[in-house]
Amino acid sequence: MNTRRERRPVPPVAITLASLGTLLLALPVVALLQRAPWSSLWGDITSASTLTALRLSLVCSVGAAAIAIVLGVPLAWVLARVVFRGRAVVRALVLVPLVLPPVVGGVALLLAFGRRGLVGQWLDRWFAVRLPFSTAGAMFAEAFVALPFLVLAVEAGLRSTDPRLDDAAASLGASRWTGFRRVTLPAIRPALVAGAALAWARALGEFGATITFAGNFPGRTQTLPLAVYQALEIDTGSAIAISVLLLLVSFGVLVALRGRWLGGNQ
Amino acid sequence: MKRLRLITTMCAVTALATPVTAAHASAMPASAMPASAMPAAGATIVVSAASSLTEAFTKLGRDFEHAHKNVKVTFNFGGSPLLVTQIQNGAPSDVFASADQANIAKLQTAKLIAGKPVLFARNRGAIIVAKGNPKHIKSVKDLAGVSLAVCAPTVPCGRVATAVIAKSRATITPKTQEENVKAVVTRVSTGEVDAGIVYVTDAKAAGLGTVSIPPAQNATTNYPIAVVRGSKHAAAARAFIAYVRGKAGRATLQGFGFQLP
Repeated sequence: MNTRRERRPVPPVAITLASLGTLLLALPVVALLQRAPWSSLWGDITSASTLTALRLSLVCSVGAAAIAIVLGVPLAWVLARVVFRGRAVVRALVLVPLVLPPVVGGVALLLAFGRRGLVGQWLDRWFAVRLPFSTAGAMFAEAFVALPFLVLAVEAGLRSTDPRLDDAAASLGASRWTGFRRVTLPAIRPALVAGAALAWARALGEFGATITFAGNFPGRTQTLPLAVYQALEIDTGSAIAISVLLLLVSFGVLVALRGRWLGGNQ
Repeated sequence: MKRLRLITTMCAVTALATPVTAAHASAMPASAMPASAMPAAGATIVVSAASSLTEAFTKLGRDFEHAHKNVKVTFNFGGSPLLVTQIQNGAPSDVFASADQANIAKLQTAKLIAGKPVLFARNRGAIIVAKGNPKHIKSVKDLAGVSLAVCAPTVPCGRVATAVIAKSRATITPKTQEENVKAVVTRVSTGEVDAGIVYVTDAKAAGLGTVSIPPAQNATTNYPIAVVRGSKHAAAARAFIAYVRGKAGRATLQGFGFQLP
């Protein structure tokens, strides 16, 4: 990406702080692996309750990432390409789930979509739709916290592509949709994949909003992070085992994504 | 692109579950009175107590501070197993009051309890419903047709709920299993569910509608209390336990709906 430059000595302060930063990220992972009950790990991970939570976690996180893509790509496109009043407000709204403590997000979701909520009471009355305590609700809570990751990545990708390419496609007779599909989408694909991966990973690790909004019930809303929390109270070993599983799943998928779609390493 | 990839990798680490502890501590008002009869002057003891003790112990703590001007009491309320995990991992605690004997036994096995735990209260299940009981719930069996919140089977109130449901012989599937009894109360008070199985004492404190469960269909749990080993204020901790078991303490516990052992 960059051309060869003159080698200059690296400031020791930068090296020290960077090392401390790396330690801060690495030590908890190392501690987790060090304390993992390796002899009983397989049994803990393949127990029926863990597999149920794993299946639910995958369904919810993939669903949440899908919701984030379907709603987030158009939102990012509008933010990047359309000038309208209130754009700054919408952009600030996109950041809200990032800065809001997830538990507060869960409370806010309850107040909006709960049985007595602003919108929820009508969903309940007119369509008998009740999001809290359902798998859809868990997916919904995860999508709420994951959406910003996708929107920010895709918007940044759109901003770094030349909008005149769209105009050129249009001048050659391509419809808006064809232009988006054939020109814009390939150009932002790395950003879209990275955004989707981030959104998915955030959804997979979601705890606060999920337990507050969707509750905790095995097989319905108890995802892996909730299972870890509950296991921690009765059996630390099994909680660590499930944590290792989460670690492996997130690392595995992200590494696979990098290799396949983001063009190898470096 | 390079930066995006970097963020992606970083996220793999940060996106891991980092559950927050749901325990909440409530600080007692500071008393500006001079010290009197207690040994260690100006001691502050931390009492880790089951969620269901929130109201009763908050009152007891205030009364105790009045009687012992040189000791302050800080509470850490939460589900009993959560408190056990906290104490096992070195959370500062002088007194532990559990909502069942199994959880304090775990700390005894880990040699984290000084002396022998003593039983100081007993509790039993009750059904809470929205004010005015709109779903006309009269017995445990009626819970089969409504949305219900209970405690998770890992916490003592969850075991009481499980026993109550089993005794009813009805097919009752809760909507959610909460980590402590107060979370069940919140689910009912916010109207997210129609009913919850909690303790009699929480039903009394919640100010919602209550449906009592007859003794034959009910389940009970015993509350033990003990000094945590390694407490720096063991004398003050013992004084607090003595106060809870004393005349004033017993009266307060009964006032909040607890039975005495």
